[in-house]
Amino acid sequence: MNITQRLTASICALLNCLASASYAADEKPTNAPEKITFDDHVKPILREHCVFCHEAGEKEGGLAMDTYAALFEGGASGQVLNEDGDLESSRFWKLISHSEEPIMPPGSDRIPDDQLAIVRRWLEMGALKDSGSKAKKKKANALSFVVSSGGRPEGGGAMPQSIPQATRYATERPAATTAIAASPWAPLIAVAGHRQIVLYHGDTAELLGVLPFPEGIAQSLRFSKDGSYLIAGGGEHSVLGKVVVYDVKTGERMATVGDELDTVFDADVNDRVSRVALGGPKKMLRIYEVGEEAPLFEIKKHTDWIYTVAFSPDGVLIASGDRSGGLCVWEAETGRLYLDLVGHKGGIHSVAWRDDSNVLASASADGVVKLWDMNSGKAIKSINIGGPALDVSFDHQGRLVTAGGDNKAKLWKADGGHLRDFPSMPEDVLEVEISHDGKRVIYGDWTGSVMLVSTEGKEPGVPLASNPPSNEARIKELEEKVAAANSEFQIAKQQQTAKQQAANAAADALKQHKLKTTTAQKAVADANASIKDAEKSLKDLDNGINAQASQSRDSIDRLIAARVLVLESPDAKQQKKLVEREQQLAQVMNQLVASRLSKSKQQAALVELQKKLGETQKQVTTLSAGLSTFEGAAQNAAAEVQAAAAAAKPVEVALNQLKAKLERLRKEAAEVQ
Amino acid sequence: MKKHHLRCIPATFLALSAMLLASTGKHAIAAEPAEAASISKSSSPPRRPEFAVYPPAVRLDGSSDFQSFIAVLRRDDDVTEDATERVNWKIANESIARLVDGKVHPLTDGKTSLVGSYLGTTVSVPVEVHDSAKSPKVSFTNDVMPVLTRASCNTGSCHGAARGKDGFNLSLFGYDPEGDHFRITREIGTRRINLAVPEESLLLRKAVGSVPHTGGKLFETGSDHYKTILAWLKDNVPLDRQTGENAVPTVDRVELYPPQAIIEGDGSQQRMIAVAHYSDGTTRDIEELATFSTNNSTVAAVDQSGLITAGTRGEAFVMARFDTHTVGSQVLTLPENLEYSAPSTEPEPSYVDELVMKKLNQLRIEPSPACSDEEFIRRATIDIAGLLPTEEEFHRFVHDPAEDKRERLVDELLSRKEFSEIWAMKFAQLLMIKSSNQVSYKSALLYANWITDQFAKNRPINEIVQELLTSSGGTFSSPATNFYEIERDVLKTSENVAQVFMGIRTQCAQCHNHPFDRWTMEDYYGFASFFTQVRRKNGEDYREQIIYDTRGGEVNNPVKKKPEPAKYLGGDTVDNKGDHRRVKMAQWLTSGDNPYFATSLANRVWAHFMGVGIVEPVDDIRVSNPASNPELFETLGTKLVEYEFDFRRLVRDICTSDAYARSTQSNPSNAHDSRNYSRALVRRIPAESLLDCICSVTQSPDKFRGMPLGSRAVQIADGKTTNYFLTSFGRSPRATVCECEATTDPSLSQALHLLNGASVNDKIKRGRTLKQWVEQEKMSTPDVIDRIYVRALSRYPTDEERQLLVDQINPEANVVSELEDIYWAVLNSREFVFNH
Repeated sequence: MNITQRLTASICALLNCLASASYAADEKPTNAPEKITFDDHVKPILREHCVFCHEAGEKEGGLAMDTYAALFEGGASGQVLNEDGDLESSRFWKLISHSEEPIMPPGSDRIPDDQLAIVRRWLEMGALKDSGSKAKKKKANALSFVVSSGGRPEGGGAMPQSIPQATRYATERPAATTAIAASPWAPLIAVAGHRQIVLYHGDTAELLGVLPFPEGIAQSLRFSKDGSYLIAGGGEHSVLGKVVVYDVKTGERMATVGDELDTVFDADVNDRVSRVALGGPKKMLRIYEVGEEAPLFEIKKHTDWIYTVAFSPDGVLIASGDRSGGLCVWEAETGRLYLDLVGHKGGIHSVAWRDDSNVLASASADGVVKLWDMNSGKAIKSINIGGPALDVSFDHQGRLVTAGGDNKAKLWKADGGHLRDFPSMPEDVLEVEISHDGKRVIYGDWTGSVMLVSTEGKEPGVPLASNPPSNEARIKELEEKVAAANSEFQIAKQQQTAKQQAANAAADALKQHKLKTTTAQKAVADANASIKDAEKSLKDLDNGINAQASQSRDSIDRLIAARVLVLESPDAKQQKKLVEREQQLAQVMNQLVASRLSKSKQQAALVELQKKLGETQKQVTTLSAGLSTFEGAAQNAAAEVQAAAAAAKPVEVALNQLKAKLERLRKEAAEVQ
Repeated sequence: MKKHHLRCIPATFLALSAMLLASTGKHAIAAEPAEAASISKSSSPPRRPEFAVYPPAVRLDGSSDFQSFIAVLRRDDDVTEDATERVNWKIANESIARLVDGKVHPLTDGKTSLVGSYLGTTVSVPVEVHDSAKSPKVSFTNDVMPVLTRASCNTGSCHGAARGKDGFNLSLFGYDPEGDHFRITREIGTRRINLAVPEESLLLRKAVGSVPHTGGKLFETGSDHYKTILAWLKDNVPLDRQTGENAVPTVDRVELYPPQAIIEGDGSQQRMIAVAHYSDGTTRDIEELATFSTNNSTVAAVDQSGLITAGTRGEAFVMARFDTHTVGSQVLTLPENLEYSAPSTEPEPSYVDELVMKKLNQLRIEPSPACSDEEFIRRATIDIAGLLPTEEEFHRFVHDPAEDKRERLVDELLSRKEFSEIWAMKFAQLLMIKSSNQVSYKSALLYANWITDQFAKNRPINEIVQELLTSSGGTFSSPATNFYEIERDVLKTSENVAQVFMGIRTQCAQCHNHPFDRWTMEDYYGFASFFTQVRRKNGEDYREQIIYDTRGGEVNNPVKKKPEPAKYLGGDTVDNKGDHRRVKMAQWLTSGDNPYFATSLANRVWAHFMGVGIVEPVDDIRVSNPASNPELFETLGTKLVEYEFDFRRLVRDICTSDAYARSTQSNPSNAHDSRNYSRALVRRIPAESLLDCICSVTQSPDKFRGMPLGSRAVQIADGKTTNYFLTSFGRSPRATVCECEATTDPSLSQALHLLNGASVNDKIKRGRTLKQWVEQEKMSTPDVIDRIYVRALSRYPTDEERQLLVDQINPEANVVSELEDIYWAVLNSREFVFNH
């Protein structure tokens, strides 16, 4: 953080403070309850319950409560009340309200609720001494935090691309969880195992890679600020300590730093990945220029094992904490002490920086996570986490996750308010991290089990093993999976085939049906044509009959004429002519009769034809109506075929993926061997 | 004076005493008493040997249990030999147990016996096998912790140090198994153990030295100890239940065998067997787990497998520590082929002499002869009355022909007030009676007067102590209450009570279980809880405090983090509810049944007269600092109880014994002995008595603050009152209750003070005794010299001495002044300053 940034931050803080002050000032006159004061209200209560032991003479625990001044002076273990009467951080309140041990008064019931309420109101009103006192201003809220998205790399954080996934070292059970890291910008989680670091997908819990750590056990894992590098500090206890920087995409060891005589408990790199700070049981804080063999700074200040080291996100400061409660902040550039933070009564197990580098969180075995303001160098919040605090971590929104000796991982608001407890573990929770999107926490305990749990806490957690099974076992498992997927695929394929057959049948049926319809339609047309022909021939017949009838009438006429003539002149000629004429008539008449006979025949045929046409037409109608059914069936069947094909596709893809995975694992396992 | 005749002791006596010894131990004895007694030394070998097999019973639980055993042969002359290798061993029923490498291993459940036979003698010990099919799990408390202790991980110089070592802390000698379990497994859960790869746990790797370890390599990879810890790691480091149902059994007691060994010859060896007995009735061979040590490795060295190797002649105490228990066996080393025959004793020796002689016979030490009457009267008078015998007393005694004159002298001395004054002073030292910012001079005076008065009245000591401990009221009106005013700290008070009245130092157990004794932190805080009810308030006089009791309240045990109920030291817990826990405690403390009170008191008395306690230092009685003569130690305590705590009678027993009346001259056999009363020890006269002696012989009294001229230094009430002489001669500064506060160590300032200081020369001049003798009584020079000798040294000068001194006198010079020089020289002699 540069100076302007720091300045802005402090101005912001100042403004905040002014704002809250004026707010408080505004509120006062409108709502003026009776002043609760020490002298008038609280002293009698203390006299009744506390002062017998806590008086100036007896002074149990070094604390006297008989006067206002003495109460604020505190006891042997420090202040019991803040001047501004902040309830949350008041030991006095916690003990008398029995929310913390040792309960006070010891071995007896709590102070009656009505009296307790008075004390509470007294504290809330600013712990006034007497009616003339004025409440002290509440401390400025340095916990106001503006969420920033700074630091997010283009296209999100790096994910493993070509890191081998073969197990490097298989153990039956895991060792206690030593380190977990979550990429700040990608769904990527690293878990330390025995001589290896296991990478998991932060959403799917899929194993993404196994980084070898032949130096021993990584005691610390941290991602670089942009998530591109993974920094592993560790080694072999009492033998060797190293820090290794891995490329997250390829798993390549970019640098190896340090040569400790005992393991490294924690290590971190700065924002530019140019410097590494490390510490361990040798009590020396060493800062290296990456690539250099000799340390840049060797800082001898810690009096006990250094448990934790962390660069501020802006790379300006380094915080380090030790086993006997020493907590220091150093200037990263010069190696000079910037702050010596005094307040913890137990070893510092972990430190974490908020994104803006203004607030440092420290987790201590005394059960408290303290938040320190880097501008003032003061503790601005003490969160009692309910057990020895073993790890702490911020997310991008400034929320905190803590791991505790009460077997719990917990989520806290940015201002230190309690948000949620995650499902308990069987033993001390040693490590905790929160995912890049703040949606999941990852925590591991003494038994070595690591859980990936949603911060909403709705779904059950997923275990992440720090000891993935042996390659043989994993290959076997994959083979089983491939087999299962294969059989699934086969079933899908069979189903697809069956559907296809059904579809083909349906199509055939449709085709048949269509053919039938066409035939029927043609029959109708034929019938119509026949009828037409028949009608025409009938007409022709009629015409012929008509003509024959007129001809016959002519023939009759001529016969009559002939007869007449015969009568008039019965000569042979005439006779002959008459016979001729008679023959002619008979002929015509015969023809007419034949025609008429033909017509009636023809008429009967027409009726027959028309009847047939009706039938055929009916058939056509029925067939036309049935067509849609066949068409639907065919369509359905076709759709089913497509669906089956679609269903088979992912199975096939999965199968292929599994096959590829198996192939990869086989290959990589062979390489590892 | 009695003469001791040296003569051969009949073999029957020896055999009998062997029997006596044997039957006192809890072990199996082969031969029947009658048979053994009938064997005389003269009978021709081979005779049937007599040997004992340890342990007296074998119990095996679980398939992996085993028990080693030894046979100890006791010769006619009481010398013991390790006969394990010589004896033929077999198991009566070989389907139940079998022998492998000198150990009994289980086969099937049942009872049988281990039979040893050697030259016709057969001894059998019962063998019981239980749960032979089960292989018990490794217990942290009972398996892992002993390994850590045996490997000395938790000693004070290693991880047992208060702040641990190299970042790893264990409880000293394992007093806090739960805490140690936490520190190993959970304190830094990722460092000391590795459950994924148990073999790579730092705990193991450090112990076998495969990684750098300040403490070095402690055991081998693959050793039994390694396997125990590895099995525990593989079992996922369980912690046993400490309380409630299925709680892990605790160690009830530890036995070390043989209870006594008398080894002959440099380099001879004797194997020790240690067996732990658990609360569930099981036993365990702890040869590989106990820590063996010796208090005198030149006499008897012991290695970590319990093998003793004899060294030079002498006496040693070999100890085995396991869990919170320390047990020991006496080992006497004798040179080979020592010619010794026990001196005869009186037909009816006093119990003191009987027990002293018994020990001397075992050690083959011949006591010095009895001292002369002159020596006796000086010794007894100084010891009993803190004065020198007057000339008159001297003559009367020396010329008394009566047989019982020594007894009468002792009685007479005991009846004098000087006797009670000495003991009042001794107690005033122990009770640290001394004015200070907190305790006014008046209080101190009243307190001292009270204690003097108690002794003057010859009140039984138990009653005095009871009154002292239960006292309440004003420090003026009830001076005994000053006990709680001089030391106001509860823990310190309880420590002082234990040290002064029981000779037990519990201080160690404030922070951890006592490493060399049985005291645990429960014992310490439980005992301290007796004194938490004591409260103080101001009296009317601003110098006076009023001591009273409140109800309730106990001391917090820092390990358990809860109040520790009041518990008698080595006894039961008391009902808390009652008031005045002090009263209960005082009753318990001073009762005749209390195993510590009477014995420790008797031992203090004994040490005063004999120069060295049976347990020395007298206020550090513990298992690892054993009595040189345990029987005598116990008997003296018993006698004190029998005498209803009238310790004058005890003093009489002591001062009339032969042991008290021995010469200081040594003989070759007792020259190196200082703990077994084979000769009288030469002792510097304590500071107060020495000053009183000088004052009385020179007839030139001193003046002490707040006391009339002529008062003796012994009578000084306030510990703050002193003078240069007393301070330089090691008067107790009364700053602590330790007996060691009053010293008799020589120093240059003492020598120079006697030579040049005001105490001797000025007093001689001021006393004018010589002037009177020479000028008024007109005594001759040799007579004066005789008188000087009698007065100062309680003897006449030898002729040679007398002649030498007479020759020194210059007849020309002032005779008185010359004689004064002689007087000065005599008072500067070592003979004067020492009680011999």
